[in-house]
Amino acid sequence: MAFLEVKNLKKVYTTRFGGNQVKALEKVSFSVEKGEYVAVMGESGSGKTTLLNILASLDKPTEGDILLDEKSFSKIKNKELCAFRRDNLGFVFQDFNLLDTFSLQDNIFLPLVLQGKSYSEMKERLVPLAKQLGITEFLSKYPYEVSGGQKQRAAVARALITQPKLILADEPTGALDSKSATSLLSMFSNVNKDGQTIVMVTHSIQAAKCAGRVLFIKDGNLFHQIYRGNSSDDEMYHKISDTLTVLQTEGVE
Amino acid sequence: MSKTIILPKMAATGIRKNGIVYLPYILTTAFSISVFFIFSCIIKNDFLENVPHAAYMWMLLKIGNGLLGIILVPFLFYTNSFLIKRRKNEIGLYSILGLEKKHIAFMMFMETLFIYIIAMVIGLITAVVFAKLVFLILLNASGLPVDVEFTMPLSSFITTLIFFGGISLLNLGTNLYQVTKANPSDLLREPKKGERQPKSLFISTVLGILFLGGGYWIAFVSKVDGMIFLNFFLAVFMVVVGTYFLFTSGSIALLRTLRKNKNYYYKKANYITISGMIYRMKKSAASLVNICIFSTMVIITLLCTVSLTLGEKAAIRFICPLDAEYVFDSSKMQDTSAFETDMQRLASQNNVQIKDKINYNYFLIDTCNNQNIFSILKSSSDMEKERLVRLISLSDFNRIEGQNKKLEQDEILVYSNTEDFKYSSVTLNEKVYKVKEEISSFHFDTKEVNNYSRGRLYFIINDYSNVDKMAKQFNDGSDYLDYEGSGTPYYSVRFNMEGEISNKEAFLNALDKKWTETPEFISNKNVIDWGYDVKSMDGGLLFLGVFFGLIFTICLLLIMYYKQISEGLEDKHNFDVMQQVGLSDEDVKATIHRQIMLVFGLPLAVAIIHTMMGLRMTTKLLYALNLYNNKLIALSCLGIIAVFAVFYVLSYFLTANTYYRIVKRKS
Repeated sequence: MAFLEVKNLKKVYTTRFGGNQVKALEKVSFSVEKGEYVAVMGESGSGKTTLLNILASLDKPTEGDILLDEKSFSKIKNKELCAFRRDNLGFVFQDFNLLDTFSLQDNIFLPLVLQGKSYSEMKERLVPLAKQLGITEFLSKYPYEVSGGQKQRAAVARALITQPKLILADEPTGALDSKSATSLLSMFSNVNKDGQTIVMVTHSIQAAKCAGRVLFIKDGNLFHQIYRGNSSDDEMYHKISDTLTVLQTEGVE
Repeated sequence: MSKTIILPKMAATGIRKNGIVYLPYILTTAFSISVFFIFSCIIKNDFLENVPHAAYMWMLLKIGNGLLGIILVPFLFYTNSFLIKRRKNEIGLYSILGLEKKHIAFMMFMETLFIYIIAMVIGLITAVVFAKLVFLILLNASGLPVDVEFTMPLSSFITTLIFFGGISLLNLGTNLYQVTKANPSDLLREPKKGERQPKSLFISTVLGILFLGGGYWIAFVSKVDGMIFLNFFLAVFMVVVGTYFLFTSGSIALLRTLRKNKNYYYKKANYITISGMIYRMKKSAASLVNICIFSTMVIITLLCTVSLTLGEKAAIRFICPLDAEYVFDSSKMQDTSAFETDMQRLASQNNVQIKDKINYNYFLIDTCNNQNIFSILKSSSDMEKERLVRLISLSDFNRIEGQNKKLEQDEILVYSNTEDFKYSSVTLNEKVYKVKEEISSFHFDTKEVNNYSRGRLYFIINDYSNVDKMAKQFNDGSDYLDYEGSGTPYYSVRFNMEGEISNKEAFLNALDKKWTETPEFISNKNVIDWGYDVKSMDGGLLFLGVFFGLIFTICLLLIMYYKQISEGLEDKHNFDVMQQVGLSDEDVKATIHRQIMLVFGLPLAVAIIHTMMGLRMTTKLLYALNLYNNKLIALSCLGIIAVFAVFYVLSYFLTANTYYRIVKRKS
């Protein structure tokens, strides 16, 4: 059985005053192996964010289920959901979502504090991680005192420090300049090489080309997927670009 | 649609959409308007000047009305600052969408006008409906006749309209200044930066200690005299400033220390609370100080009110140990028994029985007192040491106090109705007397060591001819006599009465009518008239206490409410992120409770400390009203603090709930 199993996900939103139903996801199934680096691409409104929210257990599907490491999401009680999320998933958001009230170090510690870890253990985990991500010297600064790239690296550190089974990234390069974006993506690649499973939702071909596999979503359905195989980043870029062209022209008629 | 229509419409929508903050503001303003208007009406009803015994109350209400104005201006100004902060974003958006500054100004003017009109209508209607009732309650509490006409003069309406119009304009001006000076992007952008923390806590700590210490010192040492109100306000002012400085520096220092303790800081509940509090401590300190000060004011106001109500009877009795007293100039009386004959006759005519009657002769002499030496007033510099002394003969004393004491020629007895006299000898006009005994109590003049203003010293001399001689020496030897009764031989009659209260009043009226116009009459007082005076004053104080307590409480609630809402909105994003990272619903609740408990527990604790420090001054103020029952005051104080704490905790839960609803993730 695969590490992450997504089975027949369906999500329907009903507008507040009844009647109008919006299908965000129609029927999506795929699986991710341990240590894989998967990018999910699609246009605005294609259902990417809904998919990610359901993967993050922040939202519940109308139908279908997700299994992470053989544990079914639908069988987790509401009360345990938070702890489950905390212990198994790491998040990287487009707008970083760092807390202004904490220094970068304390932001990174946040999930560990919530887990009830001791300070010495937290510190032990942070030192190598901060070195790897190159943020050691900024740790005592506050989010409003550092650049976007540094903030996103701190956010990545916060996601990694719990040693989660799965990292979920939502447009992680969306708010970064190209230099910071490139450095963040190489960081993701490095982390992935060390065995970390990553699922990243993105618009950017630049970001998606680094992944081992790219899924394309259109109108709530899985439209296509491409594997990197032995291709280089550049070849990957072209493959994705071609697929997107097909994705956008098809159905226009 | 033309601008003159759409702008007022936008103003109305703005108020409606922000109902969560505007509604409490409007209601508070309306309540303030009601109270202000009712006070103003009562003061302007000139009957209070005509009704006997109402003078004290009228004066108190006048002071109250002034105080009300002084409190309302900064308070409404302060709440307004919460409101405008919430609107900045929206106004920035309007500005980007093309509203010019003059349009925005017009819209904000309309908003202010709407709020003013709504609050005024609600406030005045409530006031008109309840004014008469409030007035009757006041009269009833003060023991005044309730069958008087009550009018609402036009001038009260005008004063109220102008006063609150002025406050509205002040707030509008501040808002316009803030909004127009900033550019749209500033208005739109959420202020992300944390406050810059004060570099050196040292200065503000020192200032805080100086001000607070000074305030406490004034509260502790000030005496009951003409300066007491000035001292009172000075003490309040210094305590407020001191509290502000100490709250800021003290809490930041405390939080920093806590943050340094890694094992404590990196715990789930502490972590979020401490970092959040450090982040906005300076701003928090201001509202915490407000909460603390208002709490203190509520407690002290209630303390005075409750103590006065409970201690009223004792306070009346303190001045009139016996029901009635008449004093005459005995040199102008041919027959001292004539008055008593009349008294007995009028009493039986009115079905009143005279009990515990005493009569005695005394002199009241004006002396220059230096420790135990009492000399004749010889120069104007002697006047600074002026002291009145009462001289009574031993035989009168033995008769009225039922004693059988004996004195030699050079011996006297001493009685002081305040602190003990203590000296073993007395020099009276260069002649030394041995104090044979210091009497510990007079049944017609209650001893009370805390009595500052009505201290009386009695010397009891072996026989009346000596008393007479001594009075003449002090009187004739001086050109600087301040007290015109000095040297007059007084004859005093005191008694208790039994019977119906109306009969007692009729009897006293008849007796007064017959005797107060005579040449020998000096003074009279009785427990019934005095009781009316005291009730009028206490009732006025009670009335003020209740209303001010209510107003302070509402101010307190509103500040708490706004603080929770504004912080909840600021924290919403943080809690969202934390919940995504894995903070559970229970954790959110626990964190909020811990945070709010700290934030609200601190002001309550400090308010209790302030109350304790202010207790001495409050007690002295109550002493001035002849309330000497320390035990009663202490018990009232404890009771009020307990009740207030319960109320405080309830409002804490209420506001914590509001906060929780704001930060809770919607899913």
